[in-house]
Amino acid sequence: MSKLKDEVELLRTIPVFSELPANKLKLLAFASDHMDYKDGEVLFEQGDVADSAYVVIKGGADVLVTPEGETQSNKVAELGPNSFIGDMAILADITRTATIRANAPLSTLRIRKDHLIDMMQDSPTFTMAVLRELVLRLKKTTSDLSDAQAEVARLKG
Amino acid sequence: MRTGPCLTSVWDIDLATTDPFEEANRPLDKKLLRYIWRNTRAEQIWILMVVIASMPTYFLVLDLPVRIINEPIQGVGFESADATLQFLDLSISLPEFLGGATWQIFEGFALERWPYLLALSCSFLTLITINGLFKFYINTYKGRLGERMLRRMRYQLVDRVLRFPINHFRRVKGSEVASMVKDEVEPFGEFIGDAFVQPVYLGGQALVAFIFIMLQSFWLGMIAVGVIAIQVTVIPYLRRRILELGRQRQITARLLSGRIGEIVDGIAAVHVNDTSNYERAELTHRLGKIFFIRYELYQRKFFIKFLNNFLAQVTPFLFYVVGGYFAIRGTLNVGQLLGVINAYKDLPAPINGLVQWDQKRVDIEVKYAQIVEQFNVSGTMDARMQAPTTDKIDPLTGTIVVSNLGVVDDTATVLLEDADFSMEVSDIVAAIGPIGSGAGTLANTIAGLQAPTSGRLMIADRKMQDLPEAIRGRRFAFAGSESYLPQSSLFDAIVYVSKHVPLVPADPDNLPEPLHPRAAAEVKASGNSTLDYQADWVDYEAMGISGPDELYRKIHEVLEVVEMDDVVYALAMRQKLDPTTYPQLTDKLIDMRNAMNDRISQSELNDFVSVWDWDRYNENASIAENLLFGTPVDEDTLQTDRLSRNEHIRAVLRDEQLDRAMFDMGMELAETAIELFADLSPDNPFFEQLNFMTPEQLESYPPILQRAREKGFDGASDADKGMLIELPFGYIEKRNRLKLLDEKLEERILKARHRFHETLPDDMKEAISIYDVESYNPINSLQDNILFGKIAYGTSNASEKVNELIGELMDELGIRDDIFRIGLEFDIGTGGKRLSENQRQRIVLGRALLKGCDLLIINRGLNSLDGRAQAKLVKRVVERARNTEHRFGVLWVLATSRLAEEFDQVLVFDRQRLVAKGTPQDLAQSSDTYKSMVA
Repeated sequence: MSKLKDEVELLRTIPVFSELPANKLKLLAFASDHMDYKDGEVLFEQGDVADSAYVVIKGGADVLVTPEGETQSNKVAELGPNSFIGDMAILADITRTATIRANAPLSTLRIRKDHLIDMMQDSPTFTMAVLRELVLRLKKTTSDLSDAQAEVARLKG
Repeated sequence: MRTGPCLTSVWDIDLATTDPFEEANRPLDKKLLRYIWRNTRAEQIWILMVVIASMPTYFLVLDLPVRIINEPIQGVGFESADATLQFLDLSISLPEFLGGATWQIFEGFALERWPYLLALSCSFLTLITINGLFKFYINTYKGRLGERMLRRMRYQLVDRVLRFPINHFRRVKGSEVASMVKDEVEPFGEFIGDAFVQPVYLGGQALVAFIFIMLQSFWLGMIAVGVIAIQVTVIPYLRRRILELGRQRQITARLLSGRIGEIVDGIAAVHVNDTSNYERAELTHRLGKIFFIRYELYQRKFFIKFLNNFLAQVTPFLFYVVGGYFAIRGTLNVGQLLGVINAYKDLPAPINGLVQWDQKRVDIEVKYAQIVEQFNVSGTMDARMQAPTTDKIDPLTGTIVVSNLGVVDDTATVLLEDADFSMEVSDIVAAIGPIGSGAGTLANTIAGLQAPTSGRLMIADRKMQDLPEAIRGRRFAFAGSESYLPQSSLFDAIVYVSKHVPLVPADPDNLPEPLHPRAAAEVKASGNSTLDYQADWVDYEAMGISGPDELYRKIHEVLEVVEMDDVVYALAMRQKLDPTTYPQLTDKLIDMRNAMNDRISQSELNDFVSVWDWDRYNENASIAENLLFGTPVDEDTLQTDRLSRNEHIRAVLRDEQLDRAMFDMGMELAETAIELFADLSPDNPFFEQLNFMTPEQLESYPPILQRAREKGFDGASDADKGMLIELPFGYIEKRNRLKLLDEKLEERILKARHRFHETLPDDMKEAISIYDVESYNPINSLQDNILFGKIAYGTSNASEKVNELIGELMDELGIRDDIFRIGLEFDIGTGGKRLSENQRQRIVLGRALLKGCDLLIINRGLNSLDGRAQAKLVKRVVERARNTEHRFGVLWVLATSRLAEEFDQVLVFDRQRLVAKGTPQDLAQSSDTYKSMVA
């Protein structure tokens, strides 16, 4: 089996892409680059201009955030296979909100910004799926935030 | 020489004295004939004299045939057998009323009838030769005269464009101005030579012919007068409408070229809005208008032509009837009649010519008036403001005082109101505020790009508007957000800002473009600029360097500030070099290649570059590259996208039985391409990823694929086979990842590679430049030559790491400077479009730094850069300005307000007003507007 077919199969298992028709998925995979990283290599840095998103095929990566005004970065999450990375920055034209660093030999599929946006313009169902993914993420962030606020209140009080 | 009086001498030019600039400043004459006369008086008078001098010959050419027919042929004066006549007897007779005295100058030769005929005929031949030579001289002279005037006019028009008030450019379209200067002026050249000569020449001819006819017969002369009278009165009347049509044709044609320019410039809007059909309809409408104007024009023109011809033909009819009658009655001899008819044959031409000349004059006057109207723009700058001066311009110092400054544009929109502030030229000042707040207007006004409408703008107690461009343009530097760069090399685009006046004359023995021996004389004759384009114009002294040797170092220094130095190296990597022009460098590059190969094979870089190896398949390269193992040089024999048509390649594929495998691959590729791309529009960005097919080709594949499925390889037609075999040539295993190749197939392609080169026919040996590790390949880019292989797909940061290594090796081999120069030779394309906007803005800023200025004015000059990059550059430039070595003032209209903290003084603009000013620290305390902008 060709690598491309593997990649298509992989994309299909990711919720956001599962709604895309087979040929669009294949097109996306065809147009994307297969990128390999060594352990410890950086995919992109917080503050970089965003031009593409990544899907983890194999291996894992750390999400590192440097809070404003500080120099030391904190690891805030770990990503494994099938994670979709960096989609937010390319959708909203903002710079990268975190640094991503491979924590093991890492294989990814790099999807270019133009291509992803073109897909979204083409397929409303795909756009909805992206939207759903973002809303879920927002929900999680909101609940994390309220937990954190409760924690702060508890510590203060 | 650049010594002597300085600043003040330029400053204190007395605007009232007359000098060559006076000529440039006066508006174009309203009347074309006056314009022509004023500029070419001496030449016109000379050619008029020549024309008059040619008239006697012309008369003799008419007169001689009459004598030939009457005397030797008809025998008048040869009544007896041995009679002779005097040939070449020259005598001058006074008219009867002056006494009728005759002086014999030369009594001539007595000749018999036959020699007399021969002598007269030979004289005739001599005369027509002289007449022809006169015509030749007059025409050539007129042509040169016209071309000179054309050159002068074009020069003057563009000279005016260079002095138009800046806001005028909002109303004119570049392509319309271009069409006026180039096309509409063109017919003038032809007319200018004729302007005065033609009426005299033709009028003289007509007069001579007419006098001749009158001398022969009064009544025949009157017939000619009658016909001419009709021509002269009726035809101009008919032509009046033609003139109006001509004017309309000119305007519509100009609008058309303006419109086409707009379509080209606004092509993106056409595509994203699906307005191409609207554009087509608009174009159709416009062309329709032009068509009917032109059609009517032709109809009328040809009717007039018909009438003219008819009148011309009717006259001989009258001559035959009336002249014949006189001849029969014996009052007119046959020689005279033939002479009259002969003379008349020549009469309509000059008369017609005169009528035409007059029409053309009116027509051209109309066109000229049109152009004058467009180019006599009120507010055009005084030519003295742009006077070229080689005097050293002293640094500007002192205070810039802005008081009650207001700027209103031509639509009465207020751009800036009541601004009051002062700054030292050397101050480091930021202006902030949203777009349209007035900050940009202030910067533009100080830079001289906008005229103040009220208030005062002073520098060192002088009015800023009086500052000649020689001071403003050399002591100020400006970078706006518009980053248009004319097409040139990157080097020329950068040093452009330092070319004010020729400083070092060009070496006459070593000119890049050799000059015509009369070049200088012609420049003078047509009143063009006498400054030498080929001299060295670069103002090294202002840059703070001693000469061209240090220029590259200086350029490198400023490009480093704007972070473009690496880009230049990267551009160098894309350049192609001819080893015959750069023998030493290309040798070094081969050394670099070898060093590179050593490093690659020893290090982790092995993953990043796959080097060409005669005995290995390169999965990061296409099948074509692997098979050819070289670059096609000659497109005629070996076309990169038509490889399957090449006899030799087909034979090799057949012999290695690769054609069947390629056919199968082609089917799979076609299938994939159709599945993925068939429903996409050709300009979809995804197509960039389709490396083995173009969007246009895609359409032809479905039927081919269908037939191939039905018939298989053995049944497929040659054409279908070719189309399918073509596809895998572009296939790159590592990139396309379709797993079409396995080790066995790669083995076979290798064998085909070997066979391809071993059996290469002689006529193809020149068509391909083989990958040879020993020699430099001029067809490939510099980088391909260094790498001698392909950067691997799918490995992160491969190019960065390769570049790093190339950088190291450049230093080791000491060729960094050479590579940098090669990069500067990069052709930036029309409007600089081969650079990104971001890069263009950096170049514009970089060259402003290069020039060496006292005040750097930046109006949102980096707005296409992201915030971090802007911050970095602002800091670097401000740091450079504070550095004692350079020390210049800065007035920076920031696109990102929070960077104001880097500056000593900040001007805060809001709604066209300067609302606050002070140090950033003070403003942070006192101004809410500042706080809200910086937050």
